Amino acid sequence: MILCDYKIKEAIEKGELVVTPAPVASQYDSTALNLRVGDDFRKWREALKAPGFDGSIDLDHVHLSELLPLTEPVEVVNGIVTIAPGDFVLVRSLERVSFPLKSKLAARVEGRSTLARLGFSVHITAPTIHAGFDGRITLEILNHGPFAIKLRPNQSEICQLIIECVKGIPKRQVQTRFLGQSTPLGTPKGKTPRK
Amino acid sequence: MTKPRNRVNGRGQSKAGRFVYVHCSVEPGMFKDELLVFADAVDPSSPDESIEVQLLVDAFLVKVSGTPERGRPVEGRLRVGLADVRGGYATVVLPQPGIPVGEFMVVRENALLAD
Repeated sequence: MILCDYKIKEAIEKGELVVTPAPVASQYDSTALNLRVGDDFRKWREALKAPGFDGSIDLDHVHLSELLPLTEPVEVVNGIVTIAPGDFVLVRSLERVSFPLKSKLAARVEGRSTLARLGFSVHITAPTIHAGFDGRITLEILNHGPFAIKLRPNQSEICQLIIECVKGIPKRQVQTRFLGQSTPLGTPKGKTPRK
Repeated sequence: MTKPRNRVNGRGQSKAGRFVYVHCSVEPGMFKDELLVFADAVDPSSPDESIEVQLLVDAFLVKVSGTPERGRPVEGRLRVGLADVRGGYATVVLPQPGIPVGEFMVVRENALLAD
């Protein structure tokens, strides 16, 4: 079940969802909470596109420590960040979002319809914000369209959070992976699994 | 044997849903106010072995001793949610998904640290 505007507000008031800074009235849509873009834009270095550069990555052996230095900041000019057609940019939401473990709420981050028509994608994949999540949401912006899109750091509302109820306290992974086991690792030999 | 005072002691005090800390090492993240965290998890398929978990988290979630630099990690403690404790092992919920474990990781119960 998706929470509507006043249910989202109630969840925030009850502490079932923490949004910092607190959203203003204009950020509430009928069934979503709009989030603003932060001010720390990064992009992969242009040099990575150079001919002959070996940019292959083994997804089963990713070392973030080696990858992170390959990004560089995106310039803010007169308070505006311009994302040209074809640009891929990383940024986080201004708002910190937190779902306490027992809140029975989770969310999906999505783009906004107006931006979509312009070919402007603000989130590529893995939209789920799980119970226990705490932090700012990373947006993977890709401008597929023909227009250069201008964003105002800490102001532009570019994504929406769709908040849903989760049935039960989220222990699903524990109980599926380790169901019937005495420990998360398995059942010691000779012992009966705990029910 | 006396346990260190900052350990999360056993039965009766390890309640699911509360925050605890796990030891980690820390480097700068991608964004300002973000850190790259490395923590050791128990490999559920081979309990005697550990998995190195990498995740990017907001800096306020990590208690760091010193100033981390790229390639020169410092020691720290990562705040996690306690999901389940049984048989000397704990399943904790990471504040952001980690590589390669996702939202959860398993650690030894005696590796949990209090605030």
